[in-house]
Amino acid sequence: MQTEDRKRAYAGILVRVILLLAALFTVQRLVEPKYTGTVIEGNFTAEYYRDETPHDLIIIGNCESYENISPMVLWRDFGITSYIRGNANQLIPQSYHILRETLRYETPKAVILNVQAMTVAEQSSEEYNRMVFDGMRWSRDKLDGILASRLPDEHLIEYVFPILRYKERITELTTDDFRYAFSERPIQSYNGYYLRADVRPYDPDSFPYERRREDYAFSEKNMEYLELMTELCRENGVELILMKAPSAYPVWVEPYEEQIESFAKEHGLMYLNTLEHEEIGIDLDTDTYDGGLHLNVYGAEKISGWLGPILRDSLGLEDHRGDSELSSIYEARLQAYEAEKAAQELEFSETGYISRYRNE
Amino acid sequence: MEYISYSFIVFVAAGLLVCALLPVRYRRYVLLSGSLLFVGLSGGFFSLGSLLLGIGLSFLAGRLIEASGSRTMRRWVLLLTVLFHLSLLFWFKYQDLWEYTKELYWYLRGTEYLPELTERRAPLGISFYTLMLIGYVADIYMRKYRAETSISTFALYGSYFGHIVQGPIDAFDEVRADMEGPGRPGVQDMESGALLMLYGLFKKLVIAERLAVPVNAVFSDPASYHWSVLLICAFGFTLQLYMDFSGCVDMVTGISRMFGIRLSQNFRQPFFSQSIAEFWRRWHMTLGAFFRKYVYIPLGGNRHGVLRKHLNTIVVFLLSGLWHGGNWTYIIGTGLLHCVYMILGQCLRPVNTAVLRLFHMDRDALPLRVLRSLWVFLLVTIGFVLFRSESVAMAMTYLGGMAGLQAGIYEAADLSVLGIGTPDILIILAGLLTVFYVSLKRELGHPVCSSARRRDLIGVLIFTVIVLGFYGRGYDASAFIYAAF
Repeated sequence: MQTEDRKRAYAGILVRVILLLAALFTVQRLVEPKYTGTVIEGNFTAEYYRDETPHDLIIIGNCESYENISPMVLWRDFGITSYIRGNANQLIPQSYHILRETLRYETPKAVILNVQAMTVAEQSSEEYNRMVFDGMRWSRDKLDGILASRLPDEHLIEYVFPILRYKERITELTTDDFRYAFSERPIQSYNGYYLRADVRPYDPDSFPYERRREDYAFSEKNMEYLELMTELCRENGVELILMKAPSAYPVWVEPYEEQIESFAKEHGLMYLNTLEHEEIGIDLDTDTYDGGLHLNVYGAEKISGWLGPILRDSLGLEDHRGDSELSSIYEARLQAYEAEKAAQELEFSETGYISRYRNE
Repeated sequence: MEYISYSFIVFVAAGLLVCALLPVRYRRYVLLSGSLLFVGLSGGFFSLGSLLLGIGLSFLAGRLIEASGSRTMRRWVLLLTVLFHLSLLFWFKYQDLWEYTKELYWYLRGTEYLPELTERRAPLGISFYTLMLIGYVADIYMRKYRAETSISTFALYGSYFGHIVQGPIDAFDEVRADMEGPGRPGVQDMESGALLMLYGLFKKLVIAERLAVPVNAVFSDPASYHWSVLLICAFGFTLQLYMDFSGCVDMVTGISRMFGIRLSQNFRQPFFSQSIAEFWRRWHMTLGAFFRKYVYIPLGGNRHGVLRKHLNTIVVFLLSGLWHGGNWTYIIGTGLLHCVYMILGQCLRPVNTAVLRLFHMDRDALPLRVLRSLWVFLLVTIGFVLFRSESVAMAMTYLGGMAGLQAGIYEAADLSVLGIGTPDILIILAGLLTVFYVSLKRELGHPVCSSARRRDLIGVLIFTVIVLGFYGRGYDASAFIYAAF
């Protein structure tokens, strides 16, 4: 009888624990940000896992990576399969761990690392860290990435149980929070590319005055992780390319250029500084959507059109357009890309803005 | 390490696990090591050193007093020990008293004076363990019980992590048995302990921290708000303080119960009090008990006439106010003002009785009881406005704005200025109703919940605290208000 009572008591506790965990899990799914509004970049990390096709090229870095190269154009014009694993303000240590994770899923022929992030020593805001890691699958890389880049008052447990961080959203839930609590959100990027077809010409007065630094040397941590990334690519037989996007701000000063050039030379890496290639034809009056900070789709397509032959001729990246299976997948994406680009163009020509990004 | 931190949860869980795995006879040592670790991690070596010095000295003083046959010697040992403890307390906590006094003086003269504060860091829990250690030595001197012979038991009493930060100020004889050999708690103890701990967290994180948002906004700039907002936030602070302080005590009492230690009761539904005197028998009960036992009664209590009684009351409340800190906002807000209330209350009692008789009113009628509780609530709120304010001048601005129906520059109904929204207000109201319901049940002597429902409530509270609690990044929910004393 006593054994029966004890069994019943344990069963009761078990049921309560399961109910509690189910309730907390439900709330967690509800309060986690869905990034369906103005800031869609928070989806980018997770979207990678939904693409089951292999990629010959992986592009890694911060906003200069996901806004400056269009994988759809690389496919359309050169048949190159590529994916951008970039996030807003993605730090070099974060890029290293994302690359290491990527190499567990696939082995591309080349990796492009956007080097602008080398100038950023520390994370400036928790939101950027969350956008990098919230969508990342749990692995040693995610754990190490968080530990390498979290802010002093960020707790690992809040990444393990996001409800502890996002609980206050409970009073501000939207219909999208309910709609996508247990269902997948629509894909927001085009193989990691952030499409913007609006135009805001370069305006030097819109940026803060570039402060002179006493020391332009990249942080030891960033240099260490760049070394690790180089080593990782070498171990996996992947060609690492360093690249600087043609943004007007933050200013890419000569000491930065010298350090990257020196590193590339020392390690036998290809370094592409688009700021020094006028033949690309970037026109900051038409090719940027925010006054010169980031390129819009017109600028990104120019960069992609310039980059394609280099990737094809120097690195031998293959043209996969003959692969019917890949072709059908990519053509569908390309159609969606063209349709979105056309829709944004139309809206911008009629209203002078893209309503979705109006709050920026 | 603070009570409200992930590391404290790990600390408690690890402690419970170790206690469960080891034989009961080692429990005291586990708790002592854990407590010293807690003090070291929370307050650093400086706090740990001061605490160990105080414990060691008091332990030796107790043994010496007990062993000594000479009354003079006993008295000197007591005097020197008390002097040592009070000197340390004074050094760390009252270094700015003179500056605050100058500030008050110039305020009364109509001039502003900016005090030059030293902001000396005090050892963790010094206000609480100082009183506990002084009480112990005084008890040994008065031969109330035998001096403790085990240094580990005494060190656990002096350093126990459950009462060192915010009390309760446990008398040694009340917790001695548990400190000597904390027992292995049964399932009932574990469940009721967990429930009490979660109830404390609910009061602190769901209610007090939410109330703190508008209260902090208004107290930082009282001249800008409408009188109704000042009034609501004054009441809000009284409730915040109660939820914060009693929440902490509930939390540590619950945790202690899970470790097999029963701490003294520190709150007994104070807002049901019918008078200020009763309020102090229900609010921070262990502090009141300390001053009653070691100051009021030795001074003669009420045995030497009305005047002497009033004088003793003034001394007790002056010390009580001073205990909170060397600022006159504390000395008046939690001390002298209450003393005035009490003396006035006693003087006006015949008038009160005559009025009741004149209108044939039953003193214990429910409406009158409710009215008296509300009156006491209003009176203590005035004191707590002083307690919360940075200076007497600011408190006067606050109270003046409230009483003078100040218009302010912000709209009374603009919640965004106060930093909270309608959902938060609804959560606060629901939380307050829950606490009122529990308090009423306790006041009436009814069980709050049946043992069968206890497990359900634990689950509900875990869920509520996790989802609705104010904690983590973006909130400064770490420090309990009374941990500052």
